[in-house]
Amino acid sequence: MNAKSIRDLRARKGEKILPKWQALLEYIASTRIVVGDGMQVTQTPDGTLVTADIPFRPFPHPFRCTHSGGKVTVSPGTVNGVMPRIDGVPLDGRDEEGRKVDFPSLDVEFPDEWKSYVVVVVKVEGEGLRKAIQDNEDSVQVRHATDLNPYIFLEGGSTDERGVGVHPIAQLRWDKQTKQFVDIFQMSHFNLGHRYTAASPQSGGFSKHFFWSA
Amino acid sequence: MQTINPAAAIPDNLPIYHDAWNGLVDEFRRNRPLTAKRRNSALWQHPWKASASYDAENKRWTYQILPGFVNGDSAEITLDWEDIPQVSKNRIGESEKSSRHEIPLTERPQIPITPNHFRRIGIDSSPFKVEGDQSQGRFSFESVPNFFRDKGVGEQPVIEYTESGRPVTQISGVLDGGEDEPRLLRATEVILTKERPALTVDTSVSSGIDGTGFTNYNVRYSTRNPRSTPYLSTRSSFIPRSSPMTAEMVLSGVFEDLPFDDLHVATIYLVSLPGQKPNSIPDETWTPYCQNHLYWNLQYEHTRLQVSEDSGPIGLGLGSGLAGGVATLNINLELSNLNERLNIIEEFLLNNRVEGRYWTT
Repeated sequence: MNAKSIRDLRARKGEKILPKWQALLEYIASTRIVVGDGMQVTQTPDGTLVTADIPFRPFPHPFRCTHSGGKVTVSPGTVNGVMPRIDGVPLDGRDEEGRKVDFPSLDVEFPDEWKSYVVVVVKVEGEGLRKAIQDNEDSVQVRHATDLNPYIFLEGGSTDERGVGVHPIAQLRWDKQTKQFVDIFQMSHFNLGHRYTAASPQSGGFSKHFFWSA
Repeated sequence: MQTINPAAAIPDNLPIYHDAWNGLVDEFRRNRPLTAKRRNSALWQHPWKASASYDAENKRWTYQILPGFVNGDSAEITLDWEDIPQVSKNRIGESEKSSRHEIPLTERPQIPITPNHFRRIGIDSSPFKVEGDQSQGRFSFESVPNFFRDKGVGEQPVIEYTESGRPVTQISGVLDGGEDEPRLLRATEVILTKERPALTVDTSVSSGIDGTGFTNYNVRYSTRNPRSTPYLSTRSSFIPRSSPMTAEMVLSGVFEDLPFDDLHVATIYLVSLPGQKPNSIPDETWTPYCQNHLYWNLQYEHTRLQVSEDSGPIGLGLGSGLAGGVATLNINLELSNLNERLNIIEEFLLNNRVEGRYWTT
């Protein structure tokens, strides 16, 4: 017996079961849900709901890092209103007169560990308590760092190193065996504010750089 | 419903009763595709985003948290070797199979949820407190969120008592079947933790040689776990940190500083099919829902400890002891001295307390 619908499969009291049993087996064999990547299946009394997670589309936020062909490009962003540079070229790829030059990129290589970082580097100048971002082309840069000094971020903020502060904006993941790039994880999604704080007893005698979403 | 293997061979003379047969047909009805849709809510998958799925091989529920960072460090989760992803095994190496490992979220671990990590909400929930006394009272249950009430989750019970010797005089929502078969609800919380030192005050009272008494407050710092990286854990409930510390609370022993700072990352709910038996353990027929509480990467800092090299005791002695018939002036003077000493203690504790804070980066 070939059942055309579920109604054909239902049995009444006293009805012979075996023919319906065979039909049910054939019916079940013909309907089977195979769940693939990004799919989710939810059972209800009346049927199964199949949901697909479409690949996410990242929103174009500041400092968004993408990797391709051994290079990392960084979307334009600012630190205290200052556009960082890579090798002297601003992230927006424009020169001082606003003409488009080219979007800069970072050359990244296997860092001898399974992770490395894209960091914003800020240089400050001034005397005593008041130090601000230097007023020159290299005051704010984006670089590839093989590691973050563990003492820098242990208790929040970046410890000052001779007027330089560091803030990670993305982490790169590597395969230790093949030494190939695997994935990139975004840390910062906004333009940044920055402030330098001089050494004090509360900071353990360290000068620090603090970064926050602006 | 009886569990029937449709592939089993049935001899001709073996009876199959109609209700068992129809149960099989209902089982098939549940499995047939009804709708297929794509989920549009996850256009951008933010840090700390939670998702849950059923691990059919190990017959348990698991969840995954998208990578999130604190101070440039990926948060970690501690897992047994059998549960860690292959990419982590490749990194760690087979020689470390026997131990548990801290796995960063960047390696996309599927984190198992044990049944005792779930709390029950709704018709089979347990009370979290009792209000009242011997003669009259009420058991309090966590209320069912409106979102799940609309999906058919059964309301929490109402249990009251009004007479001594009669433990329960009103009960509803537990035994009521009703025409509508309610669903069951479970929840578990995902917590982010950052360890830090905690301020501890040890109090001792003793007598001096001349018979005067004095109280000794020994202020020290303690750590629970010297783990510098942030980590996730799963709990059946999450209670946010209570009010800030005051000197009175510390000295009277009411306040206990905890050596960590927690943040609520996500709540994972599981909803059963209608008519599931109370106290059931969630299986593959349950539906997961994730509520996210954290959306951005973080920075964290705690106040730095100032351990003085010259840590001798701070003398806060009182004046002469009060004897019978003391005048009001003397009492007021002693109270003034006490208040001044308390201010000194409060200032000392406030300057030496440890507090942590998170902010988005």
